[in-house]
Amino acid sequence: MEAAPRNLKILTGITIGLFVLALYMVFIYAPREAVMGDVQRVFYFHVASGWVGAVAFLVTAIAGGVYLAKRDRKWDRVAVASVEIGVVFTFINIASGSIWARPIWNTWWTWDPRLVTATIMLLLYVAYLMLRQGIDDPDRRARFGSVYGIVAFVSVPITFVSIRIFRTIHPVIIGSGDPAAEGAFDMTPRMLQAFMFSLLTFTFIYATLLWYRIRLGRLSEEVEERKMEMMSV
Amino acid sequence: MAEGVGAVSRVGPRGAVGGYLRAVGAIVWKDIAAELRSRELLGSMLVFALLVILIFNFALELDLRTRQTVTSGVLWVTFAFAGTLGLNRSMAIEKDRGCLDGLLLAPVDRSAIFFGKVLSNLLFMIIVETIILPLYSLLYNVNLFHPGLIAVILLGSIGYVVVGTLLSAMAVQARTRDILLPILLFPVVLPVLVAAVRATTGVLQGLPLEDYQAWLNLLIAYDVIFLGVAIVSFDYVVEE
Amino acid sequence: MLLQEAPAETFSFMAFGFIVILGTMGLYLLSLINRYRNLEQDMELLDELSAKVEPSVEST
Repeated sequence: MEAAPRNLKILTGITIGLFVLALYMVFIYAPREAVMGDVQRVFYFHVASGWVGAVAFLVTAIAGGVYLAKRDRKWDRVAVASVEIGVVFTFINIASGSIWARPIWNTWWTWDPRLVTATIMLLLYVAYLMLRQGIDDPDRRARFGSVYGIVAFVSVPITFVSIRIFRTIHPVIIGSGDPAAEGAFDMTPRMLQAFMFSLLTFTFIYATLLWYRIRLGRLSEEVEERKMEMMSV
Repeated sequence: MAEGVGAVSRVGPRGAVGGYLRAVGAIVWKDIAAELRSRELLGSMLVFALLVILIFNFALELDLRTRQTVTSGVLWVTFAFAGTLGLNRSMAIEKDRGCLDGLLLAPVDRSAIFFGKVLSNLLFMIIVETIILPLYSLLYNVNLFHPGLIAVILLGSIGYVVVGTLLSAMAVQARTRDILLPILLFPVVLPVLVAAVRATTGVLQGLPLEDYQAWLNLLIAYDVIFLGVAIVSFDYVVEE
Repeated sequence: MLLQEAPAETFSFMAFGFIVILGTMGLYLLSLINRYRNLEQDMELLDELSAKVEPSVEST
């Protein structure tokens, strides 16, 4: 495969730069939270990872729909690349949230709607990857992946609503949340800046990883095709 | 090619709707006839359901007090487990006997095949439920006969079977088909199970309708949404 | 929560959190690189093989 195109190299450079800056903002620029202490710094990347997960799965659903309409394998590569990244970042989201919760809620885990929904989402897309692994025919794999990607994405909000009807203790930082939620805090301007910057950085990380993962998918398909050719010769 | 075939059925001589319903009916009838001959599907679902209840009995020690709080949970877990068994088997039969390919060649709209399979799966599920409910009620001396329960069970089963039929059609075409369906299905139908369990508890405890209305609404919304999604996407699952 | 004057001492949890966050990202990056290298090796191998096969194909 040819070397990374110039735009990808530029994007990679920007992303690395942003990431270093984001680390600076999270650890040094943002003040230490008055009640929770240092562990609050996990929050910036925790939310940003959740954001990447949600965006990634949305992209998968859209790419799946476009694949079914156009039947261009390119869109399936986007879909599967996005799922993989989404799974990684949803895992980071859950794990970092759990670590934050230990000192703040005094437990690693609660059955809060957002925690459960994030976990179900993770399981859904692990199932997506397992479904794809079980199918050898590439066209069928792409079709089933697209359908399941859409079904899974539609089910996530319903799952959230269904668990929401139970009481929640997860703090809502953005918007008017329940002020009594344990672990809620007011963001100082510097915290808000670090938070927004983390969101931006992780969006760039997502885009960069997606691009590399799509290229990996293409290379893997090329190798498969060449192998098939060799066998037929 | 596929569209041409579909178009023929839509403008068929005896009217599109009649032909469509006949196609759905034919699939349901085929499944019932096959089941009457072999009895393997309902038999295994029922035995499995009984075993699940038995295991719950010893795992949870279903004494009088626990029973009141966990009955609906035990019932729905039993239905869900027995349901996957039935869904997998019903689709695997289609696949292995080449019925699916035959059906796809028939001049009917693909969604007729989907509705036919949904109806027959729903029928089997409801048969299992109507046998398990009185049995549970007899074994544990709980009164399960509430008219509201029928609505909850119907709504829950529809949602479960609609999604289950779509996903089992995919699962049986995979190499790992024996283990895949529950993994694909359970995270998607979780809202159905949550809502059905809560609504069933509400009905069994004789609460006023307002107390569990939200769960019924959720079930209805789920059924409608996924019926739409499944009808649109089933075409892509069975096309070859 | 009301009478606390100093922030809670939660540095170790923060460290643990970031180890998990950065560690997972790093592992994913490594897996991408690893898969990419394996595929490139496969590609080279295929190139070599087809170089051996091709002359015989042309002669027939």
